[in-house]
Amino acid sequence: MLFSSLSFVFAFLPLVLLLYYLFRGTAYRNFILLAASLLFYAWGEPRYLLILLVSVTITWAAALALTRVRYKKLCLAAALLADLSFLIYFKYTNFLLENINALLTQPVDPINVVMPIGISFYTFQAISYLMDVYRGEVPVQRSLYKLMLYITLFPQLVAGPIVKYHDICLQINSRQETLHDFTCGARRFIFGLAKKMLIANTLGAVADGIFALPTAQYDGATAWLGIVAYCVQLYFDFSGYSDMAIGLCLMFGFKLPENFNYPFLSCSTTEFWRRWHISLSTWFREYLYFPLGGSRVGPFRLYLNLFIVFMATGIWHGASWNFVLWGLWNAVFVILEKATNWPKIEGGFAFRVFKNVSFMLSFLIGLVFFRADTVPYALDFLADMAGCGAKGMWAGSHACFINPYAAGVLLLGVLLSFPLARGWAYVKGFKVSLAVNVWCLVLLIASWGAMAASTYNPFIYFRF
Amino acid sequence: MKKTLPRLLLSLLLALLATAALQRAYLYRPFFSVSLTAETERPVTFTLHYNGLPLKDAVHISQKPGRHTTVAELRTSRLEHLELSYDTDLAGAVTLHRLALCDGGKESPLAAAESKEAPQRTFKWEEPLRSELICDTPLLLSTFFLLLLLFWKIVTRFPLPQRPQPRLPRGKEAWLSAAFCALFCLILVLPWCRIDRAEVSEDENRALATPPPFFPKGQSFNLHFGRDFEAWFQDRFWQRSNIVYAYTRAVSKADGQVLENGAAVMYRDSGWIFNKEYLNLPAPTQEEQAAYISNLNMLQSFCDTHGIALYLAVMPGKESVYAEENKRALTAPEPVVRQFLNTVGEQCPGLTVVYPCTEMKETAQRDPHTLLHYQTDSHINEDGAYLVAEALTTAMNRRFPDLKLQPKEAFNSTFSNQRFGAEYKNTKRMQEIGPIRGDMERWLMLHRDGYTQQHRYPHYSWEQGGLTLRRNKIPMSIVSHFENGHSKAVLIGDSTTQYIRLWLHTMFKDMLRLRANNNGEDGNELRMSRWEAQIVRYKPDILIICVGEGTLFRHIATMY
Repeated sequence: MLFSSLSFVFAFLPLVLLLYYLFRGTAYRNFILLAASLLFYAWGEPRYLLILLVSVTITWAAALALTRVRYKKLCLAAALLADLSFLIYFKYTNFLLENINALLTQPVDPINVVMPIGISFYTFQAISYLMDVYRGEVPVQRSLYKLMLYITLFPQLVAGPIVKYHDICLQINSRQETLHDFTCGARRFIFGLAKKMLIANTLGAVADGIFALPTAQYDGATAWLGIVAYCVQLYFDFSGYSDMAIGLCLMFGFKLPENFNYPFLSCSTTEFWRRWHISLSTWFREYLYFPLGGSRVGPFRLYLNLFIVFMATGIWHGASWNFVLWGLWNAVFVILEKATNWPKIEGGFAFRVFKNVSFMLSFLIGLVFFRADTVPYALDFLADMAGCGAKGMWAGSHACFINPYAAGVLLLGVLLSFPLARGWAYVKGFKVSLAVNVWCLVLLIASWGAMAASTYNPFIYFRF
Repeated sequence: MKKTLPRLLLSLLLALLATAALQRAYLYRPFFSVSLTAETERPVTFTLHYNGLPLKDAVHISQKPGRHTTVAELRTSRLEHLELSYDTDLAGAVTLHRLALCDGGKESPLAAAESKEAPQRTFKWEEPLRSELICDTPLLLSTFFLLLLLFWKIVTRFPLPQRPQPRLPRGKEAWLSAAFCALFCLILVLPWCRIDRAEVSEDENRALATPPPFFPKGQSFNLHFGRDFEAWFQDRFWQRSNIVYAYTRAVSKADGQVLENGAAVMYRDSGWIFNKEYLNLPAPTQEEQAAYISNLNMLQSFCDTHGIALYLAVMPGKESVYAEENKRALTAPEPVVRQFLNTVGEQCPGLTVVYPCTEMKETAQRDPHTLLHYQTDSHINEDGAYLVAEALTTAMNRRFPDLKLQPKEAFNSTFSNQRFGAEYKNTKRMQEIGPIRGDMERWLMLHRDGYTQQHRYPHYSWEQGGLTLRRNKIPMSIVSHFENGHSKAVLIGDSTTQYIRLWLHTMFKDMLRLRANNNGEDGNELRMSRWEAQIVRYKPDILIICVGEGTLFRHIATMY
């Protein structure tokens, strides 16, 4: 089920809210949330529910075993392997086979599997719990259903944020729902929905129209339009989803950590990864980078660690060479920045603007690999962006792909990528609250219209 | 007692629900089974339908000749209809010795069929049967009791709720929050105010989704319930069409005057859409032209062999007829098509070509209020097709002087204010294959009626012939018969034949229309090999190949 589907907003959500607030007591409410989360997951494809349940049960049993067995490392390794094996099987087997087949004379047939939705997210959450228990940072959760609630909590189940167990374990046992939190949560949910429906989807149509065509059919300006539209679409799509998840959790009394912090203000790739998909980058930092030694090692080992982390980040996003190259692109820039100490070089406003523009250029170029379906297409697209394509830099073909409305939305999207409306969901004061509330209701109705008018509406981050 | 009663009630409720679900889902299945004994001379696949549903795996009675028995399980508790059939091409090869319906090991004598031999290939059992074996009362009660224990165990683990602590809003800001939350929740339930119960959406020209069953007939559980529910709700929530209309209208205000995408260009002020595939039509290379002419000559020799007169009618497109309406630097296809047809005239003796583009342009200029093409559809309309039919009749009269085109007034016509032709009527098709997407689609949705009324819908009936044509029927072949007509004709072509056929069928005594691009299994090609035998059998006097100007080269290229 998608947050931006009519059945979620107008059927699932009101029903769950009604049941949730009909009962009192955290235990009952947790039970309702758990049942709702399992229904939410099973809605599209009930068969995958079993994989989720098996994964959670393995994690729960392994964590219990971790507190009792002598060989903790072995137990942890076995549990991690079990959790990761689902991810590897469903997400990477065909990619691996594809590459092995390229070396073999008698190719092996690809397996017929469809990746369960959100497997990358819930696997990482399970690993987070196991690692926290292993390190002794949190007590083991003896209740299976509470652990299940942590991993399957529906607002963050299929597209994050990747909530670490130590951030939420206390809230599962005890939390307080207040009217103020509910209001802020509803506002945050509406802002996220509007981001997705009114901005990301409009720009998605522009980007999809361009990327669907062979690169020879458009000029360099169109290629730039396509990648800028995609960049803004990606940000509003995913940050909109995160806003909805955070808002929904707030409505149920959970406080999730932020996942975005105006990433396009970044002046370097290093800074970007502190502002973009924060929960993923923190996860990799805590559970991969630090165990590898972090920055408390020699320079060569440090660069190797960074390389491993960013390659893993790329691979996590998708099983294709595009994402490998995208991860490599990021790794190269982060290593170069580390070697030159670029993020710490201070300067005036002009220098900061220069750093920001140069970073955005590098980001947009890397993003081509992220968006393109194949590596050759990405290379042709980059040639188009450089004006070396069949139609040169300017042949006027961009007019086919954008109209004044989409151009206005693109401009609005770029403006809203800067902190012009920071914290609007949490405003206080009668007059400001009144204005924000009215604005939220207008956005909700507009989003309802957009939802009704559109039928094809996948979230980009679901494919990861 | 105060603590126990609510827990007990909750456990009872949960156990009841779970038992009901289990009973429907599992306790009845697999229940009936069919055993089949047959003797075959070659491998045969039997197909079994029960309760109107096909058995997931066909019953493979034999992989090699001989006598074999197989058993298939029917996953249902209630058997209302059973049907067994096998491949009809294997006449005489199968002897069915026994078909027996078993109910949990007990064979039902009523359902047994003895020694049914070919050619009887279908066996039906239509008396409803309900199994009583597994799903007996003690079993159900036991299940219920076990589930009750289970839920009691679960429910008693939860502490009972504490005394509620009211958190009433205080102060102006808190009341504002409360009002906002109330409005937010109200909007969330608004779509349920009234569920649309209509069967079809007139605007979209499609059937609306039906309520999804959770336990479909003959199946244990609907695995696609979520998807089906979504489709149902999306189609039927309160004020759907008004909300879509209002949103579309608001967004459309910001669209430009000229809407353009990779496939089409549209002018909002005049309402014309031009298909880019047909504009800037590339002239065929010398090799291509030689191949096209060779194909036409092959067709001509086929017709000569069977004594058939061949005519090629090319429907001028709006990109040529209304070229002045197109303000963008995109060339009309007329010069390219005309040059090619001139070459055809020189190099294909015996083939008569009809391309009344000049006449249509003159008519369009003389009477601008009668459109000859759909503005928002790539097709010629009935008025345009009538002009082509006139030109074709003139050409045919040289050899067939008895042929007479009926005047338009002879037809009983109905009018519609729909602006779309066949292809953009259906919203789904518009999104999937049509060049109208995004902003164009949005704009058209706003003007779905009342913009122009030039479209005359093919809703004709003609009393003398007793032939009634209905809308939106595009079958592969149509046979027309008209007593007062003359000669026998075959009309082959793309979707444009749909419009010209309306006028031509009253001219011939018998006419067979074969459509090339019906989007069916045969694809979009005008491949003559699939029709030549049929044409020979039909013995027509005239063969008319009728294609649109924009698709002319594509069709001729695939002819042979």
